Amino acid sequence: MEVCAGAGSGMVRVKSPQDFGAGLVFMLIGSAGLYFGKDLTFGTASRMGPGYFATWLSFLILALGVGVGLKALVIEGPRIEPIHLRPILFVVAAILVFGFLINVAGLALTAVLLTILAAYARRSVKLTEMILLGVGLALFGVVVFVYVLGQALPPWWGR
Amino acid sequence: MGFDFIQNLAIGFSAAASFKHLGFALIGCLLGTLIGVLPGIGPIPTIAMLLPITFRLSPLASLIMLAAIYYGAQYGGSTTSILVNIPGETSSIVTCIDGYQMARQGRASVALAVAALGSFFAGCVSTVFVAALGPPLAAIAQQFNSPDYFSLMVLGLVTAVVLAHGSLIKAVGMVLVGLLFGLVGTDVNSGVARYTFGISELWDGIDFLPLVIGMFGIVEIIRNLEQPTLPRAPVGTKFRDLWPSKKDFQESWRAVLRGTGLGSILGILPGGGAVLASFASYTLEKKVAKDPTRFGMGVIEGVAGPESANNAAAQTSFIPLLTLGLPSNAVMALMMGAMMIQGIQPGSAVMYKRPDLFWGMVASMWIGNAMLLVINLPLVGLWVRLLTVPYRLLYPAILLFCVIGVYATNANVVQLVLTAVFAVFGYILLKLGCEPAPMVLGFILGPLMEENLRRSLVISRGDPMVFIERPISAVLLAITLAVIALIILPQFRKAREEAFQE
Amino acid sequence: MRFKPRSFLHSIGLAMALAAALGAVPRAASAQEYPSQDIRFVCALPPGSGADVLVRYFAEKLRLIVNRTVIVENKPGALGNIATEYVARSKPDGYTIYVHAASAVAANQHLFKKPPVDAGKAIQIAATINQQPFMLAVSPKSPYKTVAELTAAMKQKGAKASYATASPNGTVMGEIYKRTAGLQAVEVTYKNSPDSLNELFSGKLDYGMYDPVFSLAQQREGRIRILAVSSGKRLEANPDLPTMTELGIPMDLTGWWAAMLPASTPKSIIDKVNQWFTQIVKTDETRKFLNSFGGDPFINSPEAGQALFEKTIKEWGEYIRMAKIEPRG
Repeated sequence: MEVCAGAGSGMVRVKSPQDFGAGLVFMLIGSAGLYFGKDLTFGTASRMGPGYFATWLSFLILALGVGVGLKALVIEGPRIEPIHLRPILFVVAAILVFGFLINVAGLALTAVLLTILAAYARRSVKLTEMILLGVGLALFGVVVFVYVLGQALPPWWGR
Repeated sequence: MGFDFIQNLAIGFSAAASFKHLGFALIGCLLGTLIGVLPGIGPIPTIAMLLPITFRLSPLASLIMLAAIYYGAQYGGSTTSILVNIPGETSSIVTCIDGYQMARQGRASVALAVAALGSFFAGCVSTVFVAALGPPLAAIAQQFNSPDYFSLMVLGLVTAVVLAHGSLIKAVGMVLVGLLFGLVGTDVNSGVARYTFGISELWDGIDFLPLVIGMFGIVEIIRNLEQPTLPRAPVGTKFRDLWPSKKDFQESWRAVLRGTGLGSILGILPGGGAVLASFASYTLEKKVAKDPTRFGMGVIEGVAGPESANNAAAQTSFIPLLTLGLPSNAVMALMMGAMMIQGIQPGSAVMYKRPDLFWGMVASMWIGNAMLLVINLPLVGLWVRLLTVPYRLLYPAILLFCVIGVYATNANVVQLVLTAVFAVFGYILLKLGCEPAPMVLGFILGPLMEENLRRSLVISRGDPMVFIERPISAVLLAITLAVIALIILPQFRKAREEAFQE
Repeated sequence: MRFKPRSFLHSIGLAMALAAALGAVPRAASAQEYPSQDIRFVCALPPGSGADVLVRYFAEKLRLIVNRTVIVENKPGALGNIATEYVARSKPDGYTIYVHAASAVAANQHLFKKPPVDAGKAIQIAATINQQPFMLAVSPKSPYKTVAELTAAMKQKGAKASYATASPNGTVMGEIYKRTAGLQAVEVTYKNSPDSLNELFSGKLDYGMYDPVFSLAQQREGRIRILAVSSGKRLEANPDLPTMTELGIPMDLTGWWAAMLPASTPKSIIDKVNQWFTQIVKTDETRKFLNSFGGDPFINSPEAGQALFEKTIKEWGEYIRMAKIEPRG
């Protein structure tokens, strides 16, 4: 992977894309830690405030990120595997749909919805099969969790 | 003392081994295992769910059943760790590392069997610990003050780095990131909320379950879905393949012994001891192994050691509860609540006023372990057959149980949003070659470490020497330095070799 | 992916029919006699904790009276705010009952910069349950047998003295004691009371402010010595424990539990709930149970309970100011 760094300074080759990415992530997290923690009281070494540890830690992470990033420009490392959007998008959607609808639509329905959404994370989906699976799982879930275990999960609309 | 001890055990066994009680132990083990096996549901939610069932029983029966549920859920949690890479609780995380790899190599049944046998052995030994050494061990645990806990946590964090089999510096980064995430929530020492963005649900910090399920379970599902063909675990059909070979036994028995020892000791320490047991065992095994690079690829010691340590710690973590009335972790707190509902005030009084209760519990620990072995070895075949279900049908089920597990523990949509967030985060990290296990350990130990650090300094009025003046703390810090040296030296040697080669 | 619209709809219809058969639950029974549905108790603490035990006890007792399932729903978090908000927003039909320390709900109004709901207006007290004091305790190895001895010693020690707290109640109690007695002891906070025991024992802490359940359990074990309680009057549960007030440190800090419902719940339901809880709390069995938690039974009419609630909210405003507690964001 070739990256142009700075105008006119020539090309800088990223030798280890994974590490470079990791370095960036660390730098991001460290900076976020510093930014969102800026209002926390710092205190002193003998009487540490809530911000003391948090700030030092964020600094460390930031510094480490820089280190990893720089190392990535020098030492060879593995490439980043291609990112497939479909699986992650649908799985995350399934989780969120469950979360927002469980209290509204109840376990049975949300289980079916989750199954169907999760199924589309793959390419070739047989819808009927998935609906049957969803219903089966919904049945299992409602019987085991709501009736046998008495969890406070609403099985259906309303309560 | 010897005679007393045997006499006590006799009282215990006669109380615990009645048909009725054996029956409850069996039901407990079964229920615990079955619920614990559901991905996303580990010992704590399982016990919480099944707690009401025990209310109608007599004190001893309910304690026996609860203990059985606990061991069952622990074992069930290990099963899911091995089969689908989803840890049900902290101690199962380590099992995921090598156990799951073994499963992918078609050695799931071997991993499961070794986990069961190792746990049984550890259970037997640590039960003896509890019976014979309970009170004196508890006395030692009482010596731990804030500086000692701090040093223990530091040691734990350093061992966290060893969990990674990839880049060392990235592992350190992950531990630090985990530490930072652990800071989210209210600061104990000042009452100020950190990094909560005004969200009430973050006030008590990020829950363990969404983080772990997101970064381990969901990421694994997504990873599998990205493959051109869905995974199909090769399964040996002959019983010979299901059972560990002589070689497997030879490789693992030492790990079991070491794990048992480590776990028995660490489990007694209130507040975090048991968590460290499996991690410490993994570190030890990796350091002691002739070829540490095998770790992470499906090494049997990586399962045998931590599982034994785990179970040993689970047993000995009863000691503070039974002898001092102090719960050493969340599960014990649940047990304590159960006892109080039954009208028992847990503490040393129980030993003298109701010896049948105390020793009955101790005896039932052994019985529970034995029963688990009996139940689970045949079940191994069943679980392995489960793996032959086509993945396209399996993963929605796993996803559903994960999600239900998270919601059942804390019925709040924010928990599920967090799960999704961590799934995405875990996915990004996966692509960048960063491992989640060190981060999780940082997440758990970090806040404890900070809390104890600051408290030590408040009590000592700012004097940092307190960490070296206290003997326990000094010893732990010395061990930490030794471990750091052990970690760094090979790296230097490797770097020098690389430099020479170039 | 082969997409056949007709069979797709057919499948959806089938799925819906099956799913409908699964979860059919009786509709909202507003027109029927209360209670005609399962009742939910909301517990603001995690399952198995001390508070959860209490809630489950009452759930079981209520089940026997109304012959309906009483489910306990744990909604832990933010010192009870999550549960409080949940209950405040639930339907005022009497099927969601919040069993918790009303004093804590009151305290949260001032402990937080932005409390999620105005508890005084959003929550109604249907029945009070118990009253529990906080306790001042020392290590059994320490030479202090009375508060007076402790105070004298602490005055001598000045800023070198340290004491433990594990909750806002403890902090407030500690502050009142410090001010009235003129001490300079340093507060050391812990996440929960048991964490402080080791240090109390080793002498690093001189005294501590603890909740009653913990204190009594540990005193039974001989691991702490309780010197006084924070309530205004001595409790029947612990008649030989002196109050701070009679020892010269006036205070009346009691935690009191109540059954609470959303504010707009009809009076008939509130009165019914009051009836039930009064019935349960009156029994000897419950008295013994509450005593074991270090508290006394506490019976009040809904109106009296509500008045006390509003009074407690005001009091906590004072406490926060006095103890200089920074409201949490």
